[in-house]
Amino acid sequence: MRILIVEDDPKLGALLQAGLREEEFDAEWVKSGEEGVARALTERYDLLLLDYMLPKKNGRDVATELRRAGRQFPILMLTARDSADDLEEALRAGVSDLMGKPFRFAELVDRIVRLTSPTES
Amino acid sequence: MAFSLGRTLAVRFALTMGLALVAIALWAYRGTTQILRDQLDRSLHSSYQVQSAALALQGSIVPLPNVDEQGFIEINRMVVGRDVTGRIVQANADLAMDLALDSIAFRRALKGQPTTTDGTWRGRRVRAFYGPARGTAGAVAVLEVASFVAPIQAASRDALFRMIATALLGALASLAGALWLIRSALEPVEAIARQAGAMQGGRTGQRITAHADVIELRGLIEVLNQMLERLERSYEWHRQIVRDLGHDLRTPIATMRATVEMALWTERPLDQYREALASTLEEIDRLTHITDAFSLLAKLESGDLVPTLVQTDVRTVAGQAVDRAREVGGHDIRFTRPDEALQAPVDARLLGIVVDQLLDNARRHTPPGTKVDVAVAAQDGHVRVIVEDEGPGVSEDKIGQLFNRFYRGDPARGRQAGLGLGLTLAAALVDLHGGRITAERRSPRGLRIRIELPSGPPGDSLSNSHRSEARQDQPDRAR
Repeated sequence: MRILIVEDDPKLGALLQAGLREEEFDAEWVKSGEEGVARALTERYDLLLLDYMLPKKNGRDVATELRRAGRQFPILMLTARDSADDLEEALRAGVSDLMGKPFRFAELVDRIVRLTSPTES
Repeated sequence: MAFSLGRTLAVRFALTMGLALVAIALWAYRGTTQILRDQLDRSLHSSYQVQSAALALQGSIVPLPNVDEQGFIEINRMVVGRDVTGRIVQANADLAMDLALDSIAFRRALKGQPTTTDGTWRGRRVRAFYGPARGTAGAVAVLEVASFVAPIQAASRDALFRMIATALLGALASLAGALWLIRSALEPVEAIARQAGAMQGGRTGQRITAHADVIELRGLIEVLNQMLERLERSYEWHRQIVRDLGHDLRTPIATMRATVEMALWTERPLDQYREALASTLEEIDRLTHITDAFSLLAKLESGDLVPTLVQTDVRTVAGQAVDRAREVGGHDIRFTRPDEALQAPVDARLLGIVVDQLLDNARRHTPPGTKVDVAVAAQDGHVRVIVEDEGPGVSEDKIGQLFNRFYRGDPARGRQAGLGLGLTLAAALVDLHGGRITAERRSPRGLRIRIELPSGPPGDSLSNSHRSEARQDQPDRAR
């Protein structure tokens, strides 16, 4: 299962990639929204693990752009923002689910599995 | 103890008015009494002239009709002729024979000097005019004309009573008017207070609008609204800081949690545990950096931070900050400095934080591997520290706000970890040193931040009005 991680924090990005690979996901990692959009439009992924706070093009913009381009894979957003407005905006942009930081890695894996299972898709 | 301003002012005004009216009444009473007395004197003199002419013509005083004592008092005119001894030899009525003699006035009249004086008739006060009798009318040497003063005293008393009553009524009317006026004047203030009291905490954009059209209150309302705006901005800023603090703490905490959780996930080699612990330690340092910045800014905001200014070689302070940044790695940090010492009165710890913040800002907003230039130099009695990067710079409309305490960062510069307060904190610390911080866009790309610190003794600093500036002095070709 291919997962694209879009996370600008180098340590968290590397950690997520390493952890998901340990869980036998095919995890790739990019550090900016622009790279994320470019990669997701040219390659096929089963899930996008997207940080909200990204420089220039933030997570909401990335989700909006991909949905407009017709990409239907699940988008799981990681966010340190927890205001109702932010969450609503993210869901309106086409995000499938949100996880607040800090999160339990086991729960992250559960969510990924649930979002990519046939019943969810 | 609370008291009513309106009631106090009204009572004071009414008392003042009452006293003024009583003084006017007393002054008017004295004037009226004097006028009545003068009129009586003129009247007595006229009567004297008539009776004197009658005496000269017919040898006798014109008599009054035969009346009783009450009638005599009401007619109120006694005329007597006195001989050279002062004895009454003629009178216009028998009752007038009891008129008492004023020997001084009588003697003066004998000498040809008419005199008006006060006398008595059967215990009643009278006003008497003594004048020489004209011609040789028998034994009459002096003609005396007298009137009771009781009627004018009664008239004066009546006038005084009316005036005092008018003064008291005037004072009462003043009190009522003053209460009404003061209530009218204070009503807008109460309305403003009601509106201010009804404002709800946490809601923005609330302003005083009551009576804002009253010219006399416009200034007060403007000041209140400006104060509300300042409070609102300050509140917004603090709310934003608390929100951002929460946000900025979450990423390192998330990293630490994931690191520890994954370390415990399964059995691992020892070096992976070591790596996890080292990573966690780095994140703890990152959290410490964020909380330190937050704490320092809070101290600056409350005025609790007092710098210890000591003559220091700024090259050393900047060099140590450069070393710290190089330890972090990721960028090509170059340091240019003169051979001679650059002494300035600074707090080395705080200035170190300033340079740390500038370098941190440059590193965070520029791609890894790019150059960051740090230079220190002396110029025009100041010591300069300049940090230049090759990042995207700051957009034209944002450069003026870089050091603004309410500025939250330009999206073009990307994510601002560490609360995004780096430049705000640096500017506040430079201000604390009496220095100046400016920002300008570099051509073709990048940002240059310049600090100028006075190299003279403490206190000999730059004008406050020129601190913390940002400008764009080169054409923007990069963006």
